[in-house]
Amino acid sequence: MNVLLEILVYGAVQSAVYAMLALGFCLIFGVAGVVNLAHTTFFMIGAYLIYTLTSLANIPLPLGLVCAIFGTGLLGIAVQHFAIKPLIKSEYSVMMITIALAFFCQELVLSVFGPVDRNVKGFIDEKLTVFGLVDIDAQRILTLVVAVLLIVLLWWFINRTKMGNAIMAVAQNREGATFVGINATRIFLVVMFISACLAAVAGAFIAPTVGARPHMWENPLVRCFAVVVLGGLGSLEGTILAALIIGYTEVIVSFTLSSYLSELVILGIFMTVLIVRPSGLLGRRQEA
Amino acid sequence: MGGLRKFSVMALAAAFLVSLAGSAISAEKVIRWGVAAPLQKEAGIGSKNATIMAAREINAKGGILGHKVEVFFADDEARPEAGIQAVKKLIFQDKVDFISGGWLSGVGLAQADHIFNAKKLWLSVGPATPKLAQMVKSNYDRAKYFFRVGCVNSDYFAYDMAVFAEEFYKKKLGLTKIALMAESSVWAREMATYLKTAFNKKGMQIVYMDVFDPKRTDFSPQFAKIRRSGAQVLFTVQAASPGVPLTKQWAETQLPVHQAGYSLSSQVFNFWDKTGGKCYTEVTQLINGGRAPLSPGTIPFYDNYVKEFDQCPPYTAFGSYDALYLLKYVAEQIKSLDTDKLIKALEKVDYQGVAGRIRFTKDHEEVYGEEGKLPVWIQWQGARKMEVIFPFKYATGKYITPPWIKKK
Repeated sequence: MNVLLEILVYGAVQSAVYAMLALGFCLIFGVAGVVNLAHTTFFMIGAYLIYTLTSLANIPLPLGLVCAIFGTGLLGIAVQHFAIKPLIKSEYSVMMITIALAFFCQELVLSVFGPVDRNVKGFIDEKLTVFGLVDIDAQRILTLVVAVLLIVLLWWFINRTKMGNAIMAVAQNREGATFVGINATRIFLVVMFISACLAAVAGAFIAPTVGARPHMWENPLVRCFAVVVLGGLGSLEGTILAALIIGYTEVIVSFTLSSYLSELVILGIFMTVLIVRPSGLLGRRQEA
Repeated sequence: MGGLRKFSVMALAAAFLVSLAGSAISAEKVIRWGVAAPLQKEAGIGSKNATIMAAREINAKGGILGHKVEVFFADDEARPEAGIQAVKKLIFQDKVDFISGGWLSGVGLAQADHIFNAKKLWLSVGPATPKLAQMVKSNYDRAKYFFRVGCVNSDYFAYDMAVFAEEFYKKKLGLTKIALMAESSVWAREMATYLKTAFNKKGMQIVYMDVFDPKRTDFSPQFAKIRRSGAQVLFTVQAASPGVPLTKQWAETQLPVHQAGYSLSSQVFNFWDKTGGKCYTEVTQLINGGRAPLSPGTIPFYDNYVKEFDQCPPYTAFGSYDALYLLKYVAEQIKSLDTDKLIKALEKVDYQGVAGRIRFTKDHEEVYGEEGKLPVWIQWQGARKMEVIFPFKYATGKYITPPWIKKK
């Protein structure tokens, strides 16, 4: 019973982190067709911004958090406008410019902050015992709560607001949406803002438990890519499902075999799904 | 007779000219000392800083056999491919005479063939795998250029870990149940395999064991299993891993175990800041050096390093400093910089370095123990407060139990 509860809680936390990271990546691909390889760079920037604002500038944590998220969102808009928009017709050029941007940001962070890890302040610095049995640091539970809230909020925004409907319209048929007066370029900027903000939230909430370092974007990018492809490129529901599969698989393998094997098992699942269903779990099947 | 005199005069003149030419070369020659290390990481930064210190001091006192030492650095990025490029850069571009530095065993193993091909004396300070010395044993003529200066090999520091566990945790604190977590790098796996048997032989029980990816940032499943296993002490073996996530989660989840082991990142001052002080009571093994009177030069070197770099020296700093001084010592003993002669001299050397006594086995390993190198164990007791707790004769502070364990 104890083990099952532990798997339930730790798996939920891990899945929430992956979902929060991958949703933005999925959103910008689904709407603008942009494979943004600099997506997890926003995750790193969010972590460093909150470190700078709260630890160096001594701004109170809630205000620092808002500034870090908003600042990263604005950076996302700048990236979309100045780097991606001019190249948007060529997906390879977009991939090249975004990966170059990711390395540029890494080097920039390296030169400003140096290679050593930075300690990022968290909201809660305590241990929690969930269901009276599962010990976990409270910051991770907070991350889970925030992730769930953001997913619900995103779902509401996409499905229940005018802007959300416009985003869906552009995602489904860009030309058609333009004909009915939707400004697709503006929609791309909004989506990139949301996408960057989501990554920054992930950075700001995860960094207190793992620290901030210049290379922290690399591993999550690979994981993010795996989640989005597994779920089906452009499918938000698929992304959440894939995040749950990968998050829980990682935890179950760590519990039953060895944490070292979790990577192997996840890649096995990833390849199997792609062979059986190339469009991903909930992705739209493309006609030949 | 006249012919003989004429020949003698000519021979003397020739000898004079040769000696003049020799001294002219000698005056111009610079000793080119190459360091391949991960220059963005603690280990590489330590090597670079200490090499610069040693070269500056040696040059200020007239160099080695009158030759100035010039140092060259190449970043191995802690990756085998980059490590090979780094030694090639040092050999072919910088044309170095000697090679030092290094950190990860996987990188060292990848570099070995390239250094042996170039027949460069290699005073390696970082890689701990015994496989490098096994190369000397199995093919001496090819691999004789390798000497491990900066630390004993991973078998020895695993042995030392078992000695510490027995003497400190078992005999002093009565703790015998061990959880062992090793990262998946070459040397750490080798150590874990060794430790599994060594702990058992010492009468301790390994109740949990895991090998983890150095990039791993969530240890919740492992810690849950450790909690259930009844472990009393968690031993970790990690160098490539940042160390921060594991330590923070250990403290934040109040895992009810003492934490000790080998963690490279926890060997330097900034680990306190990196973890926000969560490393309080963590214990780590320093495999080469530390602020203990291991030799007359240890504490002065340590303090000078801290004064100059505002950071304490990692093990690679002690090794890099000693490597250059060791070359000076043997070269001045034999009055030569000839590689083969230096190798023979190093095989017999008995030198007092800043991290302790340096002697080599026939396979060019450093000798472990009282007659050679002895690791020390420190505990984090505050910002910049790393107290030596073992060997007992070097102890500078009393052991502190993690506060959440004490509460029980």
